[in-house]
Amino acid sequence: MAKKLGFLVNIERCIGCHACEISCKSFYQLEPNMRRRRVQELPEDVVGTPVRAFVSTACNHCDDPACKKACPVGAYTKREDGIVVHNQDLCIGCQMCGKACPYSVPMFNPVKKKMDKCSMCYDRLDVGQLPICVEKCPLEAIQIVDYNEVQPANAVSEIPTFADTSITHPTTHFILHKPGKQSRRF
Amino acid sequence: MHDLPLVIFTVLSQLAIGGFVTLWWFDRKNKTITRSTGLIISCSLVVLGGIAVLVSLFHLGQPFAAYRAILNIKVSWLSREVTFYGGFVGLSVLYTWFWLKDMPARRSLIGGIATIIGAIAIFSSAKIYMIPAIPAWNSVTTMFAFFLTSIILGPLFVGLLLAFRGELSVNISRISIFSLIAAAIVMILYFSSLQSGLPQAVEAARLTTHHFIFWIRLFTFVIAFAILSLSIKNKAMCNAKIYSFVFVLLFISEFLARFQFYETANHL
Amino acid sequence: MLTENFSRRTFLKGSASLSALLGLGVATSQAPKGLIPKAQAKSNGKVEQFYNACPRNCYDTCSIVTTVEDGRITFITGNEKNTYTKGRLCVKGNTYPRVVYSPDRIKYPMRQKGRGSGNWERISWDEAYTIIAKKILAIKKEYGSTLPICLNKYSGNFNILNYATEGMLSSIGYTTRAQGTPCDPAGSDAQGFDMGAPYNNDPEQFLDADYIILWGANPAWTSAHSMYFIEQAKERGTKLVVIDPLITQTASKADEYIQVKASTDGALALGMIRYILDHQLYDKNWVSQNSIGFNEFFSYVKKNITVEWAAEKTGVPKPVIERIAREYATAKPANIWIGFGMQRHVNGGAMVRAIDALAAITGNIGKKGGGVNYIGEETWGFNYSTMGFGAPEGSGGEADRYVNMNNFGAQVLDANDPPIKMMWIACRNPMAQDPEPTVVKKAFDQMDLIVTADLYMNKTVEYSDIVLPVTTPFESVGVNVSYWHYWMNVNEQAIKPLYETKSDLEIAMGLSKKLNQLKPGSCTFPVTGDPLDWVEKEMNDDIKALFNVKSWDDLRKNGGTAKANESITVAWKDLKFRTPSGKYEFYSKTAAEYGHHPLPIFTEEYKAPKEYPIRCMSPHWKFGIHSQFQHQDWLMAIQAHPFLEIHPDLAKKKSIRDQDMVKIINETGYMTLPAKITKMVPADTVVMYEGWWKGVNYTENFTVKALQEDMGEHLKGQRGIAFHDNFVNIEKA
Ligand code: SF4
Ligand code: SF4
Ligand code: SF4
Repeated sequence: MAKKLGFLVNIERCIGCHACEISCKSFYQLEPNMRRRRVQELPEDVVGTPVRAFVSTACNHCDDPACKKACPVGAYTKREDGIVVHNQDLCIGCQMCGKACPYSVPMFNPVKKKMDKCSMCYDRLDVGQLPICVEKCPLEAIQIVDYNEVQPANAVSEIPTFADTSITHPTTHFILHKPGKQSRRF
Repeated sequence: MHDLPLVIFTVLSQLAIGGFVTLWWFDRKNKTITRSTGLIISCSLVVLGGIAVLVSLFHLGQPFAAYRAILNIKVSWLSREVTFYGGFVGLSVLYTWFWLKDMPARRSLIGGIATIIGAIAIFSSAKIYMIPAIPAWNSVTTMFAFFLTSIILGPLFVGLLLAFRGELSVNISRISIFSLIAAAIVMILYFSSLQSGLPQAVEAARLTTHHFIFWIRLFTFVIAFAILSLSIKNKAMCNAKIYSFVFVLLFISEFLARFQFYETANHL
Repeated sequence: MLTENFSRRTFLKGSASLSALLGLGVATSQAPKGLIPKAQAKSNGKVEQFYNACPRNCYDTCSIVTTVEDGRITFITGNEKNTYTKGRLCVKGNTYPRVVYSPDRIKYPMRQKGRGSGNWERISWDEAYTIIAKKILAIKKEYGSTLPICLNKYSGNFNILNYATEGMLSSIGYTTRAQGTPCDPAGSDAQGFDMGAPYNNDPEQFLDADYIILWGANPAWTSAHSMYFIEQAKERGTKLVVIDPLITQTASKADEYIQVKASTDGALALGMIRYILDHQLYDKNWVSQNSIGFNEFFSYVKKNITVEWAAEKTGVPKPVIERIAREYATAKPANIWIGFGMQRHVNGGAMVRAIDALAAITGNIGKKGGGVNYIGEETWGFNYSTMGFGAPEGSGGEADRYVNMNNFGAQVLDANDPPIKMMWIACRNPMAQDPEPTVVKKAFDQMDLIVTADLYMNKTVEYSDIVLPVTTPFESVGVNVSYWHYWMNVNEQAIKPLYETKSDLEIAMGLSKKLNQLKPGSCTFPVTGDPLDWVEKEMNDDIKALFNVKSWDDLRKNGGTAKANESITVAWKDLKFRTPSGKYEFYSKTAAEYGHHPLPIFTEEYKAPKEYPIRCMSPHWKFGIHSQFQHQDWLMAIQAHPFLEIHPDLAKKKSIRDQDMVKIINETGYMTLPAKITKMVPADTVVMYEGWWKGVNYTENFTVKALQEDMGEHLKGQRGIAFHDNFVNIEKA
């Protein structure tokens, strides 16, 4: 049976450090402003008690990718394992995929003049290595899961700030932050 | 601002298609347009349509690879737009050729096909933008707006050229006033759908109306509307000067509207 | 170089951790042929990997693996052989390729016409050495000694070979030195009085803890690798308590967060102690066998401290203090980590002594997984052979003269007989990092010559006469250890130095050569030497035995990283303290000798002046270590501007909205920056993060007075600065 690979992002563990994002940038030697993975601050009352909470997302390798439908040259492919790959050789830089993706994932690379997005490091996966962000997160807060095989306990597919999942059915799932006790003065 | 090429492309291409359909229709119906006038109008439409294509290339990172844009016609509305608009421009050149050769029957046939292709092109163009990722765009008003640009600018453009040539035999004011009324209704629909939509749509409405561009757009629209209303019954006003003025006003109005359409495209 | 271990591996960069997970090891099915670009061989040329060490004054001092393709670095990541680094770097470490290839790097020696003018001209190394050497000789002639020459060097690069700069200055004669540490002085003194030295447990032992209190520490931002062990422990059921005035990133992860009023942590610890004593929860055996002065301390607490008082003082409700005290006292082992920030107060040392006492009475000191962990220096026993050449014959003066690094500007201005005329600055950015920058500037103005060795055009370089471009760790050789974990990491030269950059060691040799040319015998520092020999000379028998390595070269060939043997990874395991009595000293005569109360008593916090009622704290920021890293464009792309965190209540009172520009002001200075409204800070405090200088014309220290901490002279020579006792007012700009 085909796989359905997706990221599992543990918000409980994530310290918002951006190491995932920067290790990706470093590994692929991206231009300074290119961000294949982005760490974003969540509203501080997201779990009830005020905390600093972050979520790290990249391409969501959606089941029904809007990028793929928008692209006029067919640069997008969804592999059988679920990874949505963008072929830069074909890309003409029309930026329609970036507009169509509800998560604004594909970014225009001003130097290459083509779009660029996360590939789930499929070439690493194909030789048995983990994606860079998964391997390099100091807190081991990102995993790859085959959602056809397992439905990890307490993983949710929707969190505040994450666009309506009914549009493209992203495969990314999240583990939410459990609020701790607080004795605050304010 | 980086969507400026798209603003120019959509407005010019819709103008060209609208003008083309008008010319084809008048030519079929009245057969009063002289060969040289027909050639002039047809040529100018081809030039406008061609400029639209050229400008749209500026939007691409890889303009020289633009030909690849038809590869994904099976699913991509952008592919379809490129294909059909490309087809339309090609057919309009052919159409112009038949003016040159003065072959009315062929002209009429090719014109008919081009009209259908052009309409599909506008339809595809609108569909590109009707995407859930951008709530302000994701509405049938986008479709209406794109066709209305065509219907507002096209006939007026042809009408003013005919007026210059002294060959105007239709009441353009009447046609245009109807399209303006339709546009006004769509505008109201547009804002009320934004207001009742997702936060990004509400924000788009706010951004649009809180900018002076919106007021210029509205002002030019209202003035054009007023002049056209006056000119329906007043033959003396149906001259090339007035139509040129109104056309300029409405071109500005549509252009600014389209500009704001792109500028306020808040992503989910 | 790791050719032996690595070169036959796949050409894909990074470490090849096989993912047993989900059987991803099998090549997955491919989509239609031709559409997906094939993984291209990254390079047709040579791919090599080298070991490096992150030297940036960081708890984590990571062991690094650097991938070099055709002489260019293509990836930098953590070394998997180091069980603390675990093959991963923090966000800052991940920017290292950019640190090396940054467009902002200083490429050549340069001379500035007019300090701060930006009017730089490129000069050759020979010209630079000549100008500097001539000045040194002229000063020596005029003043009869080299004391007018002042060195300010500290923590920008803790590679052991970088002590060559100190060595070079010692080799020209007696000079003036910026002494002390801005980091930890009060707390280190406190632990010195209590136990004889600060000494921490191996942080990998968080996994062995039953209960963890992070007391004013924010490892999520300052020690990501420790945070991993803490999170692991938490997931296994260890309770994580964070005590901090701010809801830090770490506090956000706590099982229980306790918001203490800043600078009252000592009262909280004493309140807990009172409860523990009252309820007989203390370890009677431990105190009777291993300590002195317990009874005096006991009666001090009974007489002066109540839980109610502590609750009042700290803002922590009484039931919370009682519950935490009970939990802490009954968990075995319970681990406390005291952050450096907690002691940056006028009563910082006293507070650390009180917390130490809490750990001592519960018998948590000397236990694996327990301890009262602050800092340690057990692994730093190198030869420091770059420093041992001594003053040349005929040097005037008798010994080096010291000024307090933490109040550098004022003390340089005060120094007379002889006055200070020349400054050498390395691994430091005093213009940005010192309190009262205007005073520092005045001191700079008095100089005849300021030489700064640095990587980038920072605030200090901008105000120097000569800048010497230095190498990154990847362009030079060295060895590093940590003040926190128990690993030693080698640093190989991975690439040729870019442009005309040189290491501090090469600069020392180069300058010595020039001095000896101009005046033979004027500098005892060697004029030549292979850095590989220099680094090998650092290894002595004790170090080799401690880390079980044969040599630096041997370690380089075998994983690049080694952990100290278990004899030292549990602090005070033998319960032989390094105090005069050999025991844990609740009552410390040494403390009394330094003018402190001998007992760990409560001392009052600094009170806000009326006109400046708002505390402004400047803690570490996640994208920087002091003034390093944040300025890299990779990080600026994420956060381009500093900001001021303000509680919504305070913001409302001052009519400040999110993103409004806010002016923060006190008698020392002012600055204007955007507001970030957040509940992460209390309503009586604002927070501006430390170490920003790029793109702004101020630093967080514009309002910081040179207010001293209570301790520091004993072990560090000088007191530190109470950076967090900075009071200001704010208004909408
Ligand atoms: S590296 Fe890990 S902890 Fe850091 S931001 Fe990314 S996911 Fe979060
Ligand atoms: S997240 Fe966006 S780019 Fe990625 S697959 Fe989904 S629609 Fe495409
Ligand atoms: S800054 Fe600290 S955690 Fe980051 S790479 Fe360097 S030593 Fe490691």
